[in-house]
Amino acid sequence: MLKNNNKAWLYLLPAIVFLGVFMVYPLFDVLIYSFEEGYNFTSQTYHGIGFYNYSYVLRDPYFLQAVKNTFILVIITVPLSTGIALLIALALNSIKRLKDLFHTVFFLPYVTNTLAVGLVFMIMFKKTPYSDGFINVLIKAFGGNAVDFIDGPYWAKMFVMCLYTIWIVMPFKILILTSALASVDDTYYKAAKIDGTGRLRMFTKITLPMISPMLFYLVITGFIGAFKAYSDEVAIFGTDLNSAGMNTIVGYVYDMLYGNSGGYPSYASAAALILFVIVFTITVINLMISRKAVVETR
Amino acid sequence: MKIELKHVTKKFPNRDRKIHEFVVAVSDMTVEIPDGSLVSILGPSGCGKSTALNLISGLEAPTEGWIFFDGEDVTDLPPEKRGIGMVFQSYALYPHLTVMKNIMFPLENLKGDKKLTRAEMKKKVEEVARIVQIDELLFRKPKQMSGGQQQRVAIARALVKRPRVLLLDEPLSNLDARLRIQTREEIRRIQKETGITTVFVTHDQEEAMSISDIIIVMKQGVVYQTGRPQDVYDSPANLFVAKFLGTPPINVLGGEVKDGNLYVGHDKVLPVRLKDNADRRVFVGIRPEGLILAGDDDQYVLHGKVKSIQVMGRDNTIVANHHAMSEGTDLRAIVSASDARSVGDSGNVSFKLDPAKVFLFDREDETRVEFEYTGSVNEADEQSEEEHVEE
Repeated sequence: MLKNNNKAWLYLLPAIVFLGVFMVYPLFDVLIYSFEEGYNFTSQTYHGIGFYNYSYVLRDPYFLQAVKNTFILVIITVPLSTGIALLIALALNSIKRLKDLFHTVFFLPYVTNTLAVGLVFMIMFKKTPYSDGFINVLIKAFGGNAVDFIDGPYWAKMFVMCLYTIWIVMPFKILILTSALASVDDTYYKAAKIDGTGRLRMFTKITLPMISPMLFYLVITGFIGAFKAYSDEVAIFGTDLNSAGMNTIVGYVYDMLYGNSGGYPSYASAAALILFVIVFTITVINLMISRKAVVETR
Repeated sequence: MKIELKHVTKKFPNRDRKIHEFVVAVSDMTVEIPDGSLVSILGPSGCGKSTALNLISGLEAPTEGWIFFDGEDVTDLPPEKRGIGMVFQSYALYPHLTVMKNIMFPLENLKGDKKLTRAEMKKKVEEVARIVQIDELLFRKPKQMSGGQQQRVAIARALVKRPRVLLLDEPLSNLDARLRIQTREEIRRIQKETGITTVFVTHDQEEAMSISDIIIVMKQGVVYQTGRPQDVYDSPANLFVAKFLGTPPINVLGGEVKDGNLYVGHDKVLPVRLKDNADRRVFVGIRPEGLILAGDDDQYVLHGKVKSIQVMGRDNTIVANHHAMSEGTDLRAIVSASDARSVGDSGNVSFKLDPAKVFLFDREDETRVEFEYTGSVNEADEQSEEEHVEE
């Protein structure tokens, strides 16, 4: 038994060493950094241990703005992207002709570079001295007033941000949901049809419960992904997110480390740990809900 | 309720989209299923029997032809308006719902003046659960039950709306052998108790024979024969039906009718006369129980070489070679254990034939060729009397 155990540990060793060096050690390091007050990046010294870093971060208006942005992004994009992805997956599942073509078309954004997509979004929405941008042309055609979506009011910027995020996360969700829908045994629908079940009831009583594990998987990973948003913001608003008012928590962490005002690993660590606590809490809540709502399909 | 299919044909587009020919699943099917009977559609896989069931249920629409329920044309009626209950091979029980909710599911779909209160639904569920004897299991989930219990739940769900027709698509194939026999008797009991017209699809001839009032034998979308199980067994219309029914299967040998005698290879086996009195080459089908060990003075015998004897307890099967049988097949004869003892494990064996168990088929289209037995009728009787004395 013991011998067996030793062998098992031996097999696990490479993974443990790797995880230890690149995951566990940095995690503890971040924890330690976050409590070291007045840490100096160049001399690598500090003059105290305490909660100052946390109180600084929590009072920093940039951080609070980042938290607000992140939460708005999460709350709007996760349900919307999952819902729309489900609708598209349902539609994809019910068509016969050109199914493969549509599958490919809907999956394309997934294999496209984030920055490239962001650039296209910026061109579509940006107002320049020479042109109003494609979207503003459309708005004007319907009799509205042009809005600067990139440098304009907060709601406009947030709108572009949400639209972009939804668009970028959708392909993966559609992919997962179409396969989840396809895996539901057709006989359930046949049986339901013979029993005179309406389409809506079929959806709520059969389809939804059957794909609920996948749906919750998408919601949970969606939450986590949205809380960690950063590169998408950079793609549209550039690297100076604070002045654009569109920073996210991860963006704040990055700025604190390497940004123009950077060089504060202690603040960055504190912010990162706050993000960790938020994500952890939300995920636990999600899992608790899912344990009740997700049905066993086998 | 009486179900009639009139010249029903169902074609599907080929799965391979490059092939534009249609696949004919059911071809010009005309059958009548009497009210209150249990009818089996029997055939090898891919014979169109499940499609036939789907056509009756309305899940598929026929390409041509009409379907009538009690004289009423239901060809274009959607499944939910036909008043049917269906049990699927996989049972299709909703895994996330309890047995109670599964059975209640069809009732909850009722609308308008047919709508039931919760209490009425519960009463109906309990009623039908009692019929299929699962009233103890109402609050379990499907996966907490055995295959046989799941099967009953599926039947209960199909019956709860009091349908006019019950359709069963290979309902026993997911059960083990013992449970299968038990469940098929259960299905028979439920059918008798409710008096509901039942159509049962299976590829297992034993299953079909044992519980059906009528069997419909299909192959490649075509109905080969319809009739009471015993009648079909005793008088198969063609070689396929003869081969498909019976275990061990019928022995098929190449033979010839010549000068008032039936020859199998070199053996002169029966004195016969064909209707047209002509001589012709035929396939000879002999049921394993139609091969009787011959005495020394028998004139008409089939000679074989014993390969092995399979002991089954009450009856034993003699497996033998015969030169007129096609490559790789053996002659099988079922004889009583005491008779089998007189035959060695190897060596020669000769059989005489019970004319009622011998069928002739055309070499070309494999349809039955009627013949008249011209030998003395007594011979067979004598034999059976002798056996009687021995016992």
